[in-house]
Amino acid sequence: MLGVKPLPIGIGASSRWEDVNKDHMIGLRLLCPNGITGELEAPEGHKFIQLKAGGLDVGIGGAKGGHYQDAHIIGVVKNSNGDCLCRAWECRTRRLTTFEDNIFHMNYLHIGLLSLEVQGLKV
Amino acid sequence: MADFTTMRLEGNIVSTAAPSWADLSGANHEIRWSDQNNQRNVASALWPAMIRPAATGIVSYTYAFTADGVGEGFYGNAGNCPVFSKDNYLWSRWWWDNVGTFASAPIWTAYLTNAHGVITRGPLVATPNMLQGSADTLNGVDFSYLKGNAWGRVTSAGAPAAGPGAAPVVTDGTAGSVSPGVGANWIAAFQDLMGDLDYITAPFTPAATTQDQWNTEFALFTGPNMWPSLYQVVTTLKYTWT
Repeated sequence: MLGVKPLPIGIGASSRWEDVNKDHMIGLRLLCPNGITGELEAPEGHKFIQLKAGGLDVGIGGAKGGHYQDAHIIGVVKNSNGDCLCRAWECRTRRLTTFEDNIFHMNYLHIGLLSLEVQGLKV
Repeated sequence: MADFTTMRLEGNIVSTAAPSWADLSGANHEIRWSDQNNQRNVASALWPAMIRPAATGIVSYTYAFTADGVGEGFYGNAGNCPVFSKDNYLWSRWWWDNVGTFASAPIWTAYLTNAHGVITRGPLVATPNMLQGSADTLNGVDFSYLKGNAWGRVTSAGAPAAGPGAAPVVTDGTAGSVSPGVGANWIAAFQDLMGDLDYITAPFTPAATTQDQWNTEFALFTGPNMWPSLYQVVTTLKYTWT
């Protein structure tokens, strides 16, 4: 790793979103496996969300269980009502989508209320 | 990158006083049901068929298998499997490690396959399956034959000390999401598990990077209108992580 600078986000100390300093975060990029990049901008810090959605299947009567991931999501909160603009890499269809949603009752994949504390949001 | 390294559904195969938790989430691990109480350690090829009953009722015996021919009854204690009882309140639980961080409250449901496709709610289907419901489960609309109940807090905050107030019935269900009240509460009536239509949402987002569990109960019904089939479905914990 000689000569490789750590990423500025998190100062290379942690890859955990909840540990990342968001005070001056005004841009967020989602680098997709197919080379496409989803990008969002904010006027100030503490406006971005980042999460993955998936689950754990448990087989009943011989069905195959296991972990899965549906999507990797980023978003920017636009107002105090929690409205947000999101971009998501959908793993099964391998496409980048853009949608409007709300952090207090996220309709996408029926996620529901996001944890503001975990996301480090100031809304 | 903070997904969980280990997350599983566990079933209690001994007793409330001395629970022993079987991991239902590994490869070739599975839940099975039977109307016979002596099917522990029976390989799937020899698993007995169940005759479609003339009246609706619960499928009495639930088994936790950790290999094709290695399985015990829920609360079986290495013997014959007892009939489902809501009062066996340490029935099952979702378990996760201290590696991941939930970004929202987890959701518990069931799908016909691990492709998680849309389920068409009955009753206007010709061959009503286990999760669609039928005239058997009709209560305004059809509900799944698979019912669940869940505890209102993580186990570290206090495990259940009693079962839900009401036993499950075949018509239990509420369209959409149901949650127990936050704290030492079960859901008043069991919720049906029907894909993205009917499901249970935890009333909490578990603490970051903290190992814990979420106690649950589940029961399967059948009836004269359930289409005969080999049912191979999945029960699923949907969750988000940072």
